[in-house]
Amino acid sequence: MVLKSGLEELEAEAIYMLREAAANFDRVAILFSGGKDSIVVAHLAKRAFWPASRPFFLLHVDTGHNFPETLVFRDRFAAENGFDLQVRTVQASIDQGRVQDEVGPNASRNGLQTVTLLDAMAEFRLDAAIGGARRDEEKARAKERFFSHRNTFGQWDPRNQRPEVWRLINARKKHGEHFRVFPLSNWTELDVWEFIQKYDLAVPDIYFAHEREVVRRGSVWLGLTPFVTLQPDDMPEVRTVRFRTVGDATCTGAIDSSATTIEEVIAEVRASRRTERSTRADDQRSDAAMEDRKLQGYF
Amino acid sequence: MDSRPLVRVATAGSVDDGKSTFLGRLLFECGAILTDQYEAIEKASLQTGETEVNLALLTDGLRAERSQKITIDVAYRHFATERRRFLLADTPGHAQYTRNMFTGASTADVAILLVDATKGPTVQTFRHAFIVSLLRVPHVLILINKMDLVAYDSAQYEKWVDEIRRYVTKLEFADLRFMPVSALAGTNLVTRSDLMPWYSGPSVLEYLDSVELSPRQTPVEFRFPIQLAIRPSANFRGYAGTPVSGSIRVGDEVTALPGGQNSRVKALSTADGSIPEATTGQPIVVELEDELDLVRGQTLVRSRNPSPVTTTFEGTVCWMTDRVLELSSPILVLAGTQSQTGMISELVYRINPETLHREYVSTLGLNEIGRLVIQTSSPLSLDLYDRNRATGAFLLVDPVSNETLGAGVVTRISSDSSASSSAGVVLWMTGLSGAGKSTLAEAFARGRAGVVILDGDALRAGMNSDLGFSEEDRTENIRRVAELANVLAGQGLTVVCSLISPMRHQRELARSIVGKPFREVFVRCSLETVALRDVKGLYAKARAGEISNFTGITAAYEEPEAPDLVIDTEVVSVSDGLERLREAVGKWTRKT
Ligand SMILES: Nc1nc2c(ncn2[C@@H]2O[C@H](COP(=O)(O)OP(=O)(O)O)[C@@H](O)[C@H]2O)c(=O)[nH]1
Repeated sequence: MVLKSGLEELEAEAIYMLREAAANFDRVAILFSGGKDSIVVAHLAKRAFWPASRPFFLLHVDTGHNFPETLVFRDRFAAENGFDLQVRTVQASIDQGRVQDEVGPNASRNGLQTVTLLDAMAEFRLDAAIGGARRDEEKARAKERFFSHRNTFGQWDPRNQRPEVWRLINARKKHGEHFRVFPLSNWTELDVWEFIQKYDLAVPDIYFAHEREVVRRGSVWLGLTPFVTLQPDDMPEVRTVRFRTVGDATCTGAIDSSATTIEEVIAEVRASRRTERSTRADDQRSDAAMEDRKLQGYF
Repeated sequence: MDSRPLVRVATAGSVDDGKSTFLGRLLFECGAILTDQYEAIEKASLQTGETEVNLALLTDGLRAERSQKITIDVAYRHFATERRRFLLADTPGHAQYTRNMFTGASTADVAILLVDATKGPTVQTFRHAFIVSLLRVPHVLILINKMDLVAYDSAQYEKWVDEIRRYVTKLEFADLRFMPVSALAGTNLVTRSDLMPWYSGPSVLEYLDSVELSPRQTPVEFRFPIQLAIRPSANFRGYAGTPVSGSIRVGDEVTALPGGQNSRVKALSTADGSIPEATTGQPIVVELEDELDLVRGQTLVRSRNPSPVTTTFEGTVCWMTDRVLELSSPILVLAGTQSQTGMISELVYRINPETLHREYVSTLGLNEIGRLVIQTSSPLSLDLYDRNRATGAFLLVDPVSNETLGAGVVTRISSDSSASSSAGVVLWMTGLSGAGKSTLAEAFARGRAGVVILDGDALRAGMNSDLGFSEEDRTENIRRVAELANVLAGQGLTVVCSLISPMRHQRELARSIVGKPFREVFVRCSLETVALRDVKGLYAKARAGEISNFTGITAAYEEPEAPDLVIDTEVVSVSDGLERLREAVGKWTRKT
């Protein structure tokens, strides 16, 4: 008997988790940003329920600080793959006075997403939201469950997580509580790219090398967008870069790269000596930044 | 495309045995620590005033835990070699985190335990060895670490290996190995070292790279728990799931359990199209030739090789919550995709994982491990865990709070499911005053649901207060108790009657009243010994003539001729006697 490759095993595991989510919950959304992880989750959902259609819709929590390419991609992806797409914006939460924008040169709306997300979950009465987070991304994530229970305030209690023994999932919950489901928990960045290659999936262009006007922020290059306020000593320059993650444009950094095809991206990721999260300015704020956000109900 | 297989590894060690150092080093050597992670631990090392970069900080997780310098939850990490990818479940060592260790080891292909060469195995080592054995982790590697501190001395290594081996002879392992290493110096982690010429085995990485992954441990029985039914249109009805063991071909005869509906496989498909055969771990949709309305919770098996279906089973369970175990209160049993209401009807014993002793207690607390009897309101299809790691595992969940109470492995499946333990039994404990009847009866009832004690002395204070100790009165006393026991046993209870009942004809009377469920248990002890024990001072009084008709002194005791069980309290301890009693009762209740 031939052993399965790691990716085949991880794919099977993710499909198992997606089917468990469908079997246990009535109303489920895939958190879809148009980024590579959420593309993979959406594609796995198509495969998991074939030939039936997947019982999930796509939900984008939009910070308003997007790369335009990603939004175009997002809408096209939903249309081409027959997914219902719902968008809820942080701007609306700000206008309703639910949250306040940060100010200053490193202002980001990343943290503000939490309120918009929880409001959207209440609005759609979601039992669960499926995310593309992986344990390899960050230390606090390394302890996440596949099925992560959230209390009625949407908060995560890392000390009181339900043990996930074997593959037995206890997905029971009370009214008002919900789950976050992370089918890619055991994947790496490389697995994500190899999956994209295997099924020849389209991804936003900003994942490939392109010329862009950027400015140095800490150890990353920030793309110049209307949302980034230039500082007196900032020296914008045009470089050939690509993004490893696509998120809020104010805190997602680019890296120097010449990779223009999936094969080249894979070669580059394989050789990379830095984690993907190192391009996120928001995680560099403090060592425990992610953990703090997750306690509040972040993705 | 990367074709390397994924190996799941779980690690555990007592605090300060060097687990974090070992993992940090291993990940570092495999290039799994990236520059920014390295810089972060470099910074953290400096902050805590260490002179060198402390690789151990890498695997210490959340902030609160870092400040205590211990890992708490299960943390997952990747590393790889040329040949294989590894997914590491890093679990903490303390006894109070047994449940985390249990969780990490449940899916592991390989378990690595660390032992400090300067101190030898600790109670934690034994606890961890017990758990990985209980969970049947296919490969277990015990590292004797810090060999640098014992001058790489083979005698020291052998000494600890012998000590651990002596302990583990009582446990089952498919593959158990030992290895001397120094995590701090990196000795024998990646390559073999000249420092230990006496050691001829592989390095840790060589071992991980070569350990047998063929599914030798995977059973061949086909088991397919249905996750959900898929009905995109009126003419397609399929069942989505993944075979957790065995394989299946189109045309094979299958049965759905519980339920017992039979059919044949019409088609097997994946999102890429139809396939003729599906094997373990492959997500598929199964279509059957007949229109059966199967549902989530049923398991498809080969008709010729079904799994048992039962409402009563025994399991060894790790209790995972700080709420103590309560017998007879409603619980949910989750097994595969099945979910069934039930109750814990008996706590047979608690296992001390450090000594492997059975302890007879009335409840289990957080992180304790015990043998339970579980009953469900409707049947479950289960396999023994020994045969099948996937279909022999279960969770216990609180139906109100939804908390996961415990996780366990199926160790015995009652064949005659519904009749078995709902049949009552009457344990008629006869013997001299002070022989140990009440002690045994009380110990037996502790930790068991559905047990009533009818104590002769206690009943004489109330229901039988009109009776004395003449032979007629004694017979009437026994008749009443037997009638009462009969009523209670008829309602499924286990009734323990603790009465001297000195005469054979009295006990025969009781047997004729109770009938089939009657079991005579002779609690034997010589007159000399009971008179010496004389707990209540009665023998002294009887000898002094203050009590008349006292059995053994002024009245006769006829020993039973063919009791169903004899417990000689002069020879065995209370706990051994209790174990015999429990074993016998187990047999009796299963047969009736
Ligand atoms: N000399 C020596 N010290 C070690 C070795 N492995 C770990 N240590 C030390 O033992 C202490 C505890 O190690 P740590 O990895 O934190 O233990 P953990 O609690 O099991 O994670 C630390 O001071 C380590 O530097 C070893 O192989 N040799």
